[in-house]
Amino acid sequence: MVIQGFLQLSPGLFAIFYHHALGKTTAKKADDRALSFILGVEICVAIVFLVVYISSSIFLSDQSFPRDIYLWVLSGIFLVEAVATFFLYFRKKSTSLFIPRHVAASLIHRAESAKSRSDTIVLGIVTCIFELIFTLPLYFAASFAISNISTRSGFIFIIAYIIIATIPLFTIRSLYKTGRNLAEIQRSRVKKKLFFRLTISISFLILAVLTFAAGMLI
Amino acid sequence: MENQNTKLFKSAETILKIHAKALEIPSGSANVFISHSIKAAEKSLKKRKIITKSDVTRAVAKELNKYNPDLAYVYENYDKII
Repeated sequence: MVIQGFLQLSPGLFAIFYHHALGKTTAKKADDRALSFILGVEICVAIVFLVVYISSSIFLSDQSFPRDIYLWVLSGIFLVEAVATFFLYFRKKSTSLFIPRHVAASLIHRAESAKSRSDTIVLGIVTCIFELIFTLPLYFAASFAISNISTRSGFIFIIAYIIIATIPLFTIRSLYKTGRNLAEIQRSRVKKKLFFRLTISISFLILAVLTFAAGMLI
Repeated sequence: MENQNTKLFKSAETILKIHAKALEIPSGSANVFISHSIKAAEKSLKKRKIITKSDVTRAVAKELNKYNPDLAYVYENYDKII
């Protein structure tokens, strides 16, 4: 959950989108579209989580399924993600991310040209999909974690996961609403770049250790 | 080539006006210092035969920084946000 909250693609694109919406429409309309963007991210997180949860619960319910190997594979993926987030997640220049430059340019273009609620919902979904390379293993780990608890508690966990995933977006929205602008937000993102990088990387490392240990204990 | 350069400066002006509105800079003063910066950037790049988009961005941002550092920062770093 912590990792999901610190990933920078959707907050970055959301900041660009909100800034551009403020430049082209009224503050009220910009805020309305911003909420649609957040809704898009929430829809994507919920759908991906449910798909992963349902598919993983099918094979986890099978008693002969090697849970220890499943956890060790996850642990290995987390280790790779820890290294990747430290060395590859951010580029040298500013807060540029791992995505290819032409894809980033295309996303920025889409953010600039989003005119309706449906456009912004799709934009939110697309950013969430681009982050899947880092978030998909997290959904598998979270699904494993909730496979042993009651359905009700699992449902609460999924809701909490969705909320935490969108906290950065709500934070940026509140910053804009309290009079901050893209320059201030971006300066603070650049300042905290190393902190983000370390937090994500260390969190992945901790997850790798925990999943490996859980695999040993099963 | 000159036509191409004019296009680059024109598009820079349009983008800057949108950024200025988003940064809540009063449109009157924004229009004045944006056109001042564009003219100064054009002047500074006049001797060059080939001008790229990043040349224009750097030159305009340098001029804009004298009037509004926030606008200059957003304009220069816009494509490095994600």
